[in-house]
Amino acid sequence: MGKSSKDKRDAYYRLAKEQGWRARSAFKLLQLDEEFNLFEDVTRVVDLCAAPGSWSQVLSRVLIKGEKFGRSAWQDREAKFRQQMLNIFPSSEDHESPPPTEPTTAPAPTPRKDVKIVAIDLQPISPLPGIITLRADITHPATVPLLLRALDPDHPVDQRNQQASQRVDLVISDGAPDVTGLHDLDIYVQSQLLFAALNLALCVLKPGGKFVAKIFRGRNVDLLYAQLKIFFDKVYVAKPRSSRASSVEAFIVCIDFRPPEGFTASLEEPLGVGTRLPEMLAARREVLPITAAPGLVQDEETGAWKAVASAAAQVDEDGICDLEVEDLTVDDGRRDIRWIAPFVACGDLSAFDSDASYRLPEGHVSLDPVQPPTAPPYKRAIELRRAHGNAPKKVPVKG
Amino acid sequence: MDKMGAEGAVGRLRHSYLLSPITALSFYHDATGRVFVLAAEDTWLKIFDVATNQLLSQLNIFHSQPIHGIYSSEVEGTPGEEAARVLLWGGQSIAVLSQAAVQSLIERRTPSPPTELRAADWIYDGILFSSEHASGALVTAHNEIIPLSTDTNGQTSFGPLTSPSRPILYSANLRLLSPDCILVAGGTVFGEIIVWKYHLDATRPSSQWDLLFVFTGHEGSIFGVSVSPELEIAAGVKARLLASCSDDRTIRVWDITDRRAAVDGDAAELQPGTLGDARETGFGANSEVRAAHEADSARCVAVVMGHVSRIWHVKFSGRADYASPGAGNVEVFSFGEDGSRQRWELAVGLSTNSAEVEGPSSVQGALVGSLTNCGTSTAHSGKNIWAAAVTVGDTWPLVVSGGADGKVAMSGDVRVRGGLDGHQGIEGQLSDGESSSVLDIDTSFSLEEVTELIHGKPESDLATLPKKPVKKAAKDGFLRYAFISETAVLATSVSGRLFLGTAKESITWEEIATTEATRADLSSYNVVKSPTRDTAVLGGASGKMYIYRRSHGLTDLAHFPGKITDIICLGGAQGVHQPPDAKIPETFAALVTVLGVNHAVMLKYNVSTGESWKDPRTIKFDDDYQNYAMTAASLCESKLVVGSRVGLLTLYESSASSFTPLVSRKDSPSKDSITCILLLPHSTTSFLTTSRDGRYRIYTILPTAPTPTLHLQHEISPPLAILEGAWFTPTSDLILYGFRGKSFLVWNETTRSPLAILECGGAHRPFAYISSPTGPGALRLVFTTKGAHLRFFAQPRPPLRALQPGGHGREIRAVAACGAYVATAAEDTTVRVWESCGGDGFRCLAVLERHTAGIQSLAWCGEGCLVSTAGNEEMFVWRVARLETGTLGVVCEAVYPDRSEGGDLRIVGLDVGAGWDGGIVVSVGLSDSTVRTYLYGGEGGGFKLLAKGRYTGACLTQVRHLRVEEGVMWLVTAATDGFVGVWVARKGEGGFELVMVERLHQSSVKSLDIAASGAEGGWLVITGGDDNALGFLDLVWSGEGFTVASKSRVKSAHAAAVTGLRAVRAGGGVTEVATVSNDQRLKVWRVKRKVGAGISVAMLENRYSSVADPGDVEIIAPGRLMVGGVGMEVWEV
Repeated sequence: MGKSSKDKRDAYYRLAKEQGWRARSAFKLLQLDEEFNLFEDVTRVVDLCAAPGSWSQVLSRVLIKGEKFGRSAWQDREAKFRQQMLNIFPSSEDHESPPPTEPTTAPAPTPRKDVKIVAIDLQPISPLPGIITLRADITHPATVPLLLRALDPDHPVDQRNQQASQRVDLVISDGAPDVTGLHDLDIYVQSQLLFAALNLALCVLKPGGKFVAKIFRGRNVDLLYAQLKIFFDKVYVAKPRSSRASSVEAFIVCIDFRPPEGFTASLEEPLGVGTRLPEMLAARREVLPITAAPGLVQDEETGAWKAVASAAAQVDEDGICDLEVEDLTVDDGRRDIRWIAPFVACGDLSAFDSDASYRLPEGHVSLDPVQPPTAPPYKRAIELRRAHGNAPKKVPVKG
Repeated sequence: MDKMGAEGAVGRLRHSYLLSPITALSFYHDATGRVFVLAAEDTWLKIFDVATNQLLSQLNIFHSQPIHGIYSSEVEGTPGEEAARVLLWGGQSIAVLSQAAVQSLIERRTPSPPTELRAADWIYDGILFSSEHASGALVTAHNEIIPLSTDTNGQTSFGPLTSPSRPILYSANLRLLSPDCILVAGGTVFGEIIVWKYHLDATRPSSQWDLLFVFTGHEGSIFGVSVSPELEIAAGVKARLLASCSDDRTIRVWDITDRRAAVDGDAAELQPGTLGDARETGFGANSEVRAAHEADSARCVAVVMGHVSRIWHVKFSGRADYASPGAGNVEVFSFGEDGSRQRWELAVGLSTNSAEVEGPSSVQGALVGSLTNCGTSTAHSGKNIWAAAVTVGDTWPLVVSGGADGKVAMSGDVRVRGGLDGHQGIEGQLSDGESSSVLDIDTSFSLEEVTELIHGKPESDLATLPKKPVKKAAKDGFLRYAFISETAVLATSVSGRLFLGTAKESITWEEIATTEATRADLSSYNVVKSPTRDTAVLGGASGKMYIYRRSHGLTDLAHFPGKITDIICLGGAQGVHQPPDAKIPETFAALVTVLGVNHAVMLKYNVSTGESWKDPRTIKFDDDYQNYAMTAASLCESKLVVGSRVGLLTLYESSASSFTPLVSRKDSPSKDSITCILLLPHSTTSFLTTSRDGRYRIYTILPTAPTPTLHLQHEISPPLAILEGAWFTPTSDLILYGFRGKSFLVWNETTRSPLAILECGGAHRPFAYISSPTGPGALRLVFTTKGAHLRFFAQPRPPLRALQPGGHGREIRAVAACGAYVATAAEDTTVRVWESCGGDGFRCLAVLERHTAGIQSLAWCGEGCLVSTAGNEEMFVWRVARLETGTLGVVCEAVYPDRSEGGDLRIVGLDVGAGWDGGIVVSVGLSDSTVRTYLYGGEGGGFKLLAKGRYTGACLTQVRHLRVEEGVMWLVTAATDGFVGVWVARKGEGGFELVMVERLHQSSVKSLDIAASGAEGGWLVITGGDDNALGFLDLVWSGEGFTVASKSRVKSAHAAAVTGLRAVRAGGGVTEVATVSNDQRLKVWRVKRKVGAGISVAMLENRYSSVADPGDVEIIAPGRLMVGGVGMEVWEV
């Protein structure tokens, strides 16, 4: 796909170039922040799987430079106009002042103090102001001491001490494998990336801290949700509008880190493999039930829904009546503990639609990406083939 | 046979059909030496007999986990009934099958399902063996070994995990070195390969593992590793090799011969802990690892680029001495994302200059080698070979591959061995028919070589060239070919000589006696065709025609007033000759065209009298076309159909006095030759044409008045770029042949399988091809190669055969059923039309290839009309009809009429319904937020825009008709913003008006269905969202418009996006709805309208679905649900 047609197909690709972001995924973090106030009172952050660095770029601009990004950064004014015209946008939502034309210049930037941001990826990350970048594999045990030393140069070199002395407020991870197309394997590898991020987070996160990571919403994702719920008070699955609806990608937003009593993170006994996590989950279930969205209760044993004795039907602000479901299924004897995290769509309706095609204004000049995509492992293969005069017509470009 | 077992009986749903990616394969040898293929399809194990290509039986192994790997152990002595023979794994699930269980599967009896065990982590490989310490071992995704033991009761248990280092792997391979020791190779996500030994003896004084090598060099994830058996690469030199394949598109071979075995303990640089230190990891930059393992990476024997995309598997066949014993060639196979399998030969030997190589390998000198590609075959449609197995066969290795398309493709052969009753007969017939007629031949001749073979002396001694001093230097070569029987080919030369080559074990040549004048006449230019068995007709530049009959030699046939441009035999050999015992017709006819003459002449010949005569009625060409040139013709009773070089097709009526042109049509958009015209079997009015534009078409002559019509019934692009001809087998299979890229291809269109693929340098070359009457896969081919040489190729059977036919090569996005037909449309840009066959199974009737983007929606309007929409603003209307042959005729009748300037919008939402004036109402929702409704008037009628409307900017994902009348139309749409809208368009008021908009979801509406509800005209709109929720909008019809009775939602209805939804039944205030989701659950809900207001919802079913990434769920027959996504499955409700 050419640059120009990608501009039409993907509004966020175009916006990212216009607003100087390294990748369109910057908007995903901005929209997550808008919904969950992720950056509130945050000064120490770890960004995992950071390359090409667009999330770190957001951290750098928000935390270090003190810039503010409102929804005007991704608002589709024409759509908003049409929504109002078609009465889709409730008038109550329309109280904010018209967006400034230069969103980033409005308030004076207010940089925060004592900001410490560490970004880790396998791929090199171009330097960003105020950010320490490490090149390492987050699934590798050897990375923990590397991270601890980056966070705190005085951290003892003792390998067995995997607990940070200076903890962090937020751990984020936008990491995903190059998907193979074998869904089972892709979901497993993604969950291992998520567990690797979680295992690192458990070593460095301060109580009350937050954890945000990419997740594939596929088979058995409800097992994963239930496992994450052990460590955090609130767990949501969030989909920013800048993430395509056609993609299985979503973000797990875990708020208020509360490790179970007596729990010590250890990369020697990592979570995600073995029986440690399922045992913890079973133990936790004994004392604390996990509840689903309001009005629904899931059976802890089977994950099935229990019909709650007729509570008054709840009607939300859109006039939708949330129903309780009577479970009439036959128990198939599977006893996995499952739980479905509440879904939250991020970025309001006036945001550009990542699945829509847009008409470009006349005379639109397609900008070059701020940073070329990361060199794929098959780069050399393409170069060689081109040298032999039979290059493939299309070089896949990572979105 | 396809009936699923007990698992399907729980609850109200029964799982009755499955077509899923093949994710694991293994060869199984029974005690008598028979060979079987074990194939994993989702949770099921299938067993095929290699000798008969038949599916024997299947067994459900895991509850809700696809099988990822199968290991079959070798027979050692005479193992007991309870001996573990097959190990299966998938994710964390493990199962073991005893010899008795496999034996009962072979005997088509269903054994009791094995116990599903769970390991602590995902498993990438496993082996079974017998040792005093364990009976098997597994390797996990984190490079750990889990020993497993089976007790006397067949109960399996796991031992403790052991690992030298726990990186995350993408691949692993195990091989037993000795009863106490396993070799482990792990390919990491980050491009390293770790090779280590695991000692089964837990009481060993030192640790249970020895790290042998860490190989770096690959620039991407390692998707496949394979350890070879011990190979003898030169006299007395044994080596063990490791092959790896990667995201970087290379295959590498490493020398992992453990030459340190003699000096064990000398591995000081690789002590435990070396890999545990703090260090930067990852591609390329891992300088510390690189330094530590520099010597290891010198063990890379060969590197080669292969495949156009990622390489998933690489395997050793185990053969190292097949070419010439001692040559040190090792056979390797690779399998890729591109759906191809490639064969490689590794030439390997000892470096003569061992001084250059440091490290332990210098003890014997390093291994050096190179990999050479020895052939590529595309075995699967779409993308991805997920599973492969290789074993030694009788003449060629047995190679089986399984694709994302669900196909199991087999190559290689086994000798027929004694087996069960009933098999003998089938095997006997197959082997008789095949081997006795055609033998493998692939040889090339220059004309000099042929004459030398005939005359026993070099060509230069034979002064046969016409004595023109100027041309003297011109080298003689082959010109044209015609098979006069399935064994004999007549070849003409530039100098006008005629040769007859006959294929037996090899080719024997004879020269046909000709006069010098004839040779001069046929020199430089000639035409040769075979009108009937053992006969050829020839024409030259002077206008003279000759006939060759095996019994009579070459004689004069006729004379025409100019250069013979073509001879088109009516009813002549197309791909196959009549069997030798068939009665040869008394006369044959051919149409002869002459340079500069605007008509053709029919020449007839009586075989018994040897008389020939020209029909006085000429066939006049269409003067409106320049360079008309007749290229194909066929008689349909009293009518003659003629095809031309410009793609024009003309129907002539033959009367006593003339051939009168009745009607013409041209369907190829380009000026491409019609290469063949063929009557359909048992038909006198329908015929098939092939064209160099890559399509074949089927027409029916309709007896319309005053002149008949040529009705286009079928137009399809098979996977050949240039079609040269077609023929029907006695069982009415359609065989097509032509070129694709640089290859000649013979294709069975009925079974959609390639019969022969041969690289020949491309189209535009003289060739002749003939199949054996015993079967279309046994065939011979002659063509001209570089330097005017003749290449003769023969094969007794197709190189590949399907043990199980496949389906779509990528995710199905839409399923639509109508009457007997089920249509599926996929990301692979094709639409497939299926019908039920043999109980619960399905047969693919047609593959429609015209879309260039992934297909989004599909809808029928009656059995005769199918509409599909896709990206790039593609919408096609397909006319579908059952042909006389019983096959399906499909024609793309119309395309989207209102393409935008860029032409790059996606047409996502679609609904069709009966309209007025015989038309069809078609509504579409586009990615630019517009909705459009057209009246489609059929072929020639085209599209008429009735109304359009524009939404907010959000992509419209769903469109359905609520009420469609000529004066007023009501639609419901849904969009990526989570809202459902109701639109109305009234005649004369211009455009759709959005009259109702209701939010049901937080984000995109991914599925929608409507069911009649409440009073007359009311609808229950049911939606599935990306937000995991189900939405219900109860619409009441007031007579003038719709009002909302209730708006409800079930949050967290699935654990992931609800991507498919269908109202299964409705009535009496109750609607049952089936939903599918990315969480791979199929759920059925009962929705009840409550007295007063609102609805109540109960969940009736919640079942594991084998379809990942589902796109649609559809009722394909009363009580039958089909789910389409990665594969397809059917449930009986």
